[in-house]
Amino acid sequence: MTALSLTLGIHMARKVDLEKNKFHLLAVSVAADLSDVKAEGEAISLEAMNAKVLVARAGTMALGFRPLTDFMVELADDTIRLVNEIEFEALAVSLQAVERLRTLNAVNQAQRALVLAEGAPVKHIGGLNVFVKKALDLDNARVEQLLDHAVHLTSLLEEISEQMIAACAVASSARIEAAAIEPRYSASFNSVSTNLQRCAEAVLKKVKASHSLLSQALNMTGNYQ
Amino acid sequence: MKSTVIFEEGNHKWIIFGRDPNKKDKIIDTNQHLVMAGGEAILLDPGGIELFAPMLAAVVHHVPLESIKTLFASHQDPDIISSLGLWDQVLEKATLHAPWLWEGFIRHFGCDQITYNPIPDEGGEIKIGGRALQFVPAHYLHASGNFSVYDPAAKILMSGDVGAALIPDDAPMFVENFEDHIAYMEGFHQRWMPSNRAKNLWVERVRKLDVEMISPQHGAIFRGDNVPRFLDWLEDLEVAAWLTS
Repeated sequence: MTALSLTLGIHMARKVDLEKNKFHLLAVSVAADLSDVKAEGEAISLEAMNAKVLVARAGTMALGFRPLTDFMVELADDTIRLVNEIEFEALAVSLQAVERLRTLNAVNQAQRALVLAEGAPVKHIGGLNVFVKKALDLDNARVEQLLDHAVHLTSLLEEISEQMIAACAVASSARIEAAAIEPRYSASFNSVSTNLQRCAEAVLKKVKASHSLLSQALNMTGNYQ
Repeated sequence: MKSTVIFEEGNHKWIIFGRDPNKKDKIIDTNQHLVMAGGEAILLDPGGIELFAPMLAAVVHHVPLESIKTLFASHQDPDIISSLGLWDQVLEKATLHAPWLWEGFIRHFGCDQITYNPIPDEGGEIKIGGRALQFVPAHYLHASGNFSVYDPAAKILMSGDVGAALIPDDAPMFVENFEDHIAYMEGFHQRWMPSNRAKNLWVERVRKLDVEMISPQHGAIFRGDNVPRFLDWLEDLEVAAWLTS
């Protein structure tokens, strides 16, 4: 057996089963789900600004609320930064997954053609074999890039989860503080705290689901290695 | 997929691919054309995504993949060119010649590596291995931007959907009895062709060419006396039938 035929044999043996592999669907779902997180992140930012305005209006009557407000603003800025990074990485994972699908589909078709082309002159099918080899090499490189993006995305999801847990804690403290403020301001501060909690919980729920989907997708990518 | 050599003179060859026995039932049968000359090759209306693998396999029986540097699409329909995204990946440095009108549409099939050469409305000419191929306007037959391909040396006109017939799977590659064949193509032309004026202009244009074979993208090939017979029949046919029904 020549080195060339051995190499080609290895490539032929590598089964690219797109039917069973739903990686691209999971990757696109993650990107779609995480796009909702951006809206919640912006809502957190808005609540932080509301809190700042309320503190300014209440003056000395809301002194206890001021450090919480400062923390909320900081949290909101961090959330927006994280959300933007998450959006970039999720889109990268999704695009890479779709590109893989296109390449692997072409490889499948070429491999099918190689089987159907039995009896064709060997020199005529050389180009097809070269294509299959180059496409699989390209796919390997793409898997590496995809893994980099997916791993980074996973760490960003973990980071934002911690932020949102902190946001829930801040919301609880803010509610306690709101109860101690003069009644005419209390309802507004309470509303800000409740909204902050709702947004943080919504982000947490989405992030948890996306994290789980991403883990499934990464496991599938592992099957390709 | 069946392949039939319909012209051969030295290294100048026309091969037609079609009648794929493994084709799914509800997919219309199509004829793909390969023209070879001087070590180069062009695929005319390379077909749909569904038959890409058998088509590719059939092609490499005749030419190495590397020799296909040129593709042609008569118009934008999926049975003509939806395989483009796959050819785009397996061919290196290829050019697609297709109507300028459809560039933005055909690119939806995937055209990253392949260069799209938009054919102007008046048509044009390219050389394959030193042999000239002419793009003959066939606008509105049936697409609003549409071309036939004429090979003056082989005297073959690849007519796209003009002359197309919905024939049985086991029908011969060449029309044997013109009168019998009318039943397979009449309804197609009456419904798919939208303009009597465009049809008659095309007939007039083709009559000026020296044509020995008209090879459509569906159905069977007209040769010899069946060529003028087909042109006469087409000239007399009222198309855009739904409008007058």
